[in-house]
Amino acid sequence: MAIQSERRALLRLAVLVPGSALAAHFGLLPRFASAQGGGVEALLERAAYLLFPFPELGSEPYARVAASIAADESAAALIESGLAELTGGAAERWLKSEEAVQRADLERLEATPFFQYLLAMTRTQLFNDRAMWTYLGYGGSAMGFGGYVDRGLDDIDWLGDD
Amino acid sequence: MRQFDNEDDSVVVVIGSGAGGGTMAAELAGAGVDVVCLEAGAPLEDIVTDNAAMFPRLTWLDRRIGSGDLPAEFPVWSGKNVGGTTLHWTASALRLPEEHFFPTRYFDGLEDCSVIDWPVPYREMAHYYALAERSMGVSGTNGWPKLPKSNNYRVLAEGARRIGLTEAHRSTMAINSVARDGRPACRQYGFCVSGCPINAKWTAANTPLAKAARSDHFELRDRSFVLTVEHDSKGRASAVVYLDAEGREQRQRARLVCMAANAIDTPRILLNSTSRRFPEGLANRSGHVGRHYVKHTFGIVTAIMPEPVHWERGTDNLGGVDDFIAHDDKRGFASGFKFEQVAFDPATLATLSRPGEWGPEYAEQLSRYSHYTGLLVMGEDPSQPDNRVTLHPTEKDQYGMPVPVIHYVDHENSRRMKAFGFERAEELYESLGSTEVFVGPPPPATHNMGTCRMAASPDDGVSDAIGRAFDVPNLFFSDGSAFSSSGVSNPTLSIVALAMRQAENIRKLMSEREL
Repeated sequence: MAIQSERRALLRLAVLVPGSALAAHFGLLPRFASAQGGGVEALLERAAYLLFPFPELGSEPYARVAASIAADESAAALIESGLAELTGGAAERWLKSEEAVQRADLERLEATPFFQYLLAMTRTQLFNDRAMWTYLGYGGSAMGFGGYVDRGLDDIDWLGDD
Repeated sequence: MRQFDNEDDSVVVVIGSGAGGGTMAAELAGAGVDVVCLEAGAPLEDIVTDNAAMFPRLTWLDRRIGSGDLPAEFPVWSGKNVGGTTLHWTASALRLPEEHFFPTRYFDGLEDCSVIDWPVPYREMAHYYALAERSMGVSGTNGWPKLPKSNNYRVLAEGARRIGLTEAHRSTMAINSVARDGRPACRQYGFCVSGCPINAKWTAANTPLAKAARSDHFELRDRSFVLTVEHDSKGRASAVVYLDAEGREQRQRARLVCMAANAIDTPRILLNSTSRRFPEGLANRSGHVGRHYVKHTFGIVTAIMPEPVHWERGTDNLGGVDDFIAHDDKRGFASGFKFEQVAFDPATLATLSRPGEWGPEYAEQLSRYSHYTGLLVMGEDPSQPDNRVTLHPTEKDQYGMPVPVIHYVDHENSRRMKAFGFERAEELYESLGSTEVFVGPPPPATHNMGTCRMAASPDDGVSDAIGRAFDVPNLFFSDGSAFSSSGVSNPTLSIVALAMRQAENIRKLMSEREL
């Protein structure tokens, strides 16, 4: 647990410093246990989609990201105040707004620690989600299949280099 | 494994078990010299091909503070394991060419820098490079074939060809292309950066440390964090103070000390080792300890191709383009750079391609993940005296040791070099039909060099032509901190070759009763 909170601290400090996107990414966090709390998660799910919208991906990966973030107890205060600022304290109404309006609301918060935290967490969690990997056609570990040596290592045919 | 007594002052203490420390251990213990190796990290068991899972297990995450052009958090990416950063490295095994031992020739007249030539006679290097390549199983040498072409390499090579370049090559790599030395051939998993699960990649753990362990002259103490090196009344290194795995302070006496804690922690330990005789830190009469930090100048270029690439398939950094390495007066900057191919997993791509970016346009680009390709622009950076490692005046880490502060600013020469490199990379990718090319900032520094550099004179550096401290006759620098300049080559092969050469010199001095 001590190590986990060190990593969270690393991530928190990283997102507050401009240009530390790399540190934020490399402070990758473990998956958190799924949390309760519908309101917060619904907002986080919507925010995750607004940050990186993949309409064909379905909602489940975004729900997983939201659950992960909501379970980060050490960020609870940051998330609560950030979401309040995002929605103007009117979560239900905000969730029903137009996408363009929601995105503009998010953009207004771009320089805030809350936004940078959300961006880093969403990016890391969403792009490590296995459903996302399938959607992107990312081969991931081919280890279970003996590596790429016999599985498409050298199979593109559009270069005209042979 | 042998166990030596802390009071045994006949042992050589090697600090760090990476490319340099592991090699020193093997070369000395293998010759019958007793060695105690102190490693801050733990043995790495159980490697899985999952970057997110492996990162916290491989990486030096103890606090370091970056300043200047470095990110404030996590400025340096090095390893904390038995085997050091070699568990993580992607195994490009390249020799420094002779011209890079004489950087004053082409940096001639450059202002605000502290460039010096290597004091090592270059003619000696061929022998040690050959020994290193044979010991590491470098594919593309010794009759071992290079690793096979991958899609991502072919894209880079074809783009290079289309813009008139002729020096696209698969690199010589410390990755088995055939089974040898008890380790299998590469299966192209493509997670080299997270540790090779089958040990096709050479590491200090699977080769030199294993060799040292087979001798009867070696003890590895892992989870041992070095705080200071002590000296006796004659100014000779006499003991190493460290915290053991239980956090208890220990003092191991030493006949000779080899510093191989990487170019950040080697000077850090010395700066932390002050005394009346060495008020600025052990071996630091010149004031050069920690200074002249070089790391190569880097930029990342990613591009979306009109057709799939599947860049994640296979060895991460298989090849590169060498046409731009040689110095050319007409380009408006000194020295040169190369392109090195890269591949990123989806999360790393999203972070590094367009940092800070989000929204539907970026998501649409990332949805074409399978069409991405990319390269690193990697160039020589001239030494600057204020690019340096220092100790934070008040902040301490979990061991009670002052946190290192690493200051680094790109020289104007490096900025011009990278601008030129980015233009060429854009041309290369456009020749293949790309209209979406993105330039990003450098990753955390993985090639860390120069901070206790070898020099011809004690006025200019910390150590002599065999990496022996000018101020302390039984203190040696066996890692990248000894480098006099960065050149354009990934440093690990040179670290191993120089360590082999240093070990031979130490053995000779021992037989002459000088050490």
